[in-house]
Amino acid sequence: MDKASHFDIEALSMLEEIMEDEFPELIQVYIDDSDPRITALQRALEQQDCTALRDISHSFKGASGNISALPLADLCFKLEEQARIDVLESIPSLITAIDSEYQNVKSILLSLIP
Amino acid sequence: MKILIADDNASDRLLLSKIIRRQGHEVIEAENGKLAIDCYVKESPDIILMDVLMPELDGKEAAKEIKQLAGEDLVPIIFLTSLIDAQSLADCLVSGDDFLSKPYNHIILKAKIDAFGRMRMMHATLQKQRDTIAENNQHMLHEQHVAKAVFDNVAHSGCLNATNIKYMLSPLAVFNGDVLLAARKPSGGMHVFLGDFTGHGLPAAIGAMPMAEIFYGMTAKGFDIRDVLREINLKLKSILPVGFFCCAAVVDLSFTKRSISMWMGGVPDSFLLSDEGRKLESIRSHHLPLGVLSSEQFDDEMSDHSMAMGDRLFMWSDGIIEARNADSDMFGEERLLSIFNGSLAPDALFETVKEQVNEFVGESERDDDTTIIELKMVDESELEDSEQVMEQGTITGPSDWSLEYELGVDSLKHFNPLPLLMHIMMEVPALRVMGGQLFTVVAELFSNGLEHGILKLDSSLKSTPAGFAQYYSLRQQQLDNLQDGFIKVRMKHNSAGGRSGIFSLSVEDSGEGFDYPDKFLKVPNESQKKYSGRGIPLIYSLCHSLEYFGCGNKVTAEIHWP
Repeated sequence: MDKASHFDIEALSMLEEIMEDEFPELIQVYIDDSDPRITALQRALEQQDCTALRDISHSFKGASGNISALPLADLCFKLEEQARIDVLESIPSLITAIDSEYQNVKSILLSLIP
Repeated sequence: MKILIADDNASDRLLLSKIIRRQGHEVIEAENGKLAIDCYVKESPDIILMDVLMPELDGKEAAKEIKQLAGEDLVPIIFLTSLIDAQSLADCLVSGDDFLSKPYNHIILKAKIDAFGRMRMMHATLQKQRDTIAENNQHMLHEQHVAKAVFDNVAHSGCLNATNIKYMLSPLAVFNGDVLLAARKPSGGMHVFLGDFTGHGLPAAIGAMPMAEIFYGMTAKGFDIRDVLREINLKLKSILPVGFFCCAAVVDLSFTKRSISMWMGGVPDSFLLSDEGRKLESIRSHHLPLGVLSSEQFDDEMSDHSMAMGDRLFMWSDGIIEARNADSDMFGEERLLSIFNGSLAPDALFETVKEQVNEFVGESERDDDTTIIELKMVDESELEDSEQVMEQGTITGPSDWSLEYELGVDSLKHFNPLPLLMHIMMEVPALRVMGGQLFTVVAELFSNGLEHGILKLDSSLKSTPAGFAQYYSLRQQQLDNLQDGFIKVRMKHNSAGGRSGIFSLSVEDSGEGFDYPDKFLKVPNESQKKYSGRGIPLIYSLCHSLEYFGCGNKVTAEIHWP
């Protein structure tokens, strides 16, 4: 899988350097926090709950940005913006894109830790 | 430092706390705003990093509450945010102190934490200094309060409340650079003293203390106002640093003669209002302020003015004239004069001046002490109850006593014994009235012994102005080079039942003496005029007898009273 199309490579390696032996823990915590977000996004869409969509995508954006998964953070930001202005048409496709991007990010991250 | 991280996002929290711990700080974590407040109370962190959007209580609310709890302490709160629009970021600075955007940049994070660490330290230092200042100020106010009580006891124990006196003293600080003293004389009459020290507040008041002591003490003992002035001048000259002095207007008021004698140094013109307010005369200062000149140079010449019943004398310090209004204009002599030239009744003048000055100055800050006094000529009997009885040091004074006082080389070089000798003589009530005369005798005989006896100066030098200067420079030179020598002063007083007495004064020097014509001379004759250099004829005229002994290095003067 192409790491560079899903991550800011430089930022990711700096993250590894900063976290030292706590890097695996960070990855684990990120995944543990993010898995429920995918489900939560789908539930919010079913209920047409824009506030929830906005809050979850905002928080998902921040966490993904910090883990240097910038394309994922960008998708989250787009979702946050759409939810903010109550435009629902493009949201289902954005959530699908986020889910697929997150699966890629997740498998790359898991490949980095023992 | 101890840093609190409040973020509901576990991975963000983990990353941030790792970065901060790597920078050497202690980290505590909270998952929402509510827990953040609890953490703040329990752990009192130095800096708080707080996510804006959090469940339970959001970051801004939590920040508000924490700031309130912190009170005067500075607890910097840095908001963590992935919001990027300008308004959202600006909002962070309303409830917090700064913001940090996600994703975190650890270099900027470190710089911000360091900067707020410095700010905290500065704030703590400031608080500590403020507390110290407040404490010192409290302490100083207390001390000033006590000192002011002592000062008031010393400086205001006189008869300022007499019915013929109106006055205003406005303190700039707790202490005042202006001094107002008034005392009744034992022989009748009144001494009044208006002084304006350079500066104000405590430094000025310190000089006022000994001055008031001298004024009241010497007035009560019956000293002439000139002696009081000399003594105050000498005292101030010796205690005040260079550049500090006391401008003064001094009045010796005689109720029986209906006149005043005035000495003014460095104060504005005083006004004498007579003829029921129809005649206004200004009296000008002719002297240098007190504490400037040495005793030898000091001029105690007074000016005499008659005052009829009801005539008034107005004196003030320059504070009245230099009082400034909000536009920094001075009240000025013209305004003052125009009040006096108006058609006001004499009785209303004092209050009018007072009111107009206060009105003029208004709310603006006073830059000098403003003092004014009105002194009215009345019948002394009107004052009967206006003064508490001054405590007398000694009622009758010593009558039978003697002393011998010997001054060695060092004392002769550096010390003037005349005030001390005068002080001893002045303890005898009968001698007080002859103060001036006694001073002349002691001063002449002492300087004869020193200048002619020991220093061997030739008084004929003094016959020309140039010689006069030469004489005094020679005197200083010889005195500086003096290796040995002494002057012995003996004083003896005996009184017969307090009705009459004999005072004898001997001065002996270690010099070679001089060729005096007779051992005992009751009356001076023509032949003695050649000794005029020693001022002998003058002394003859003041003494009952004057006798030289030995080789002429010892002389005894006798003064009889009454």
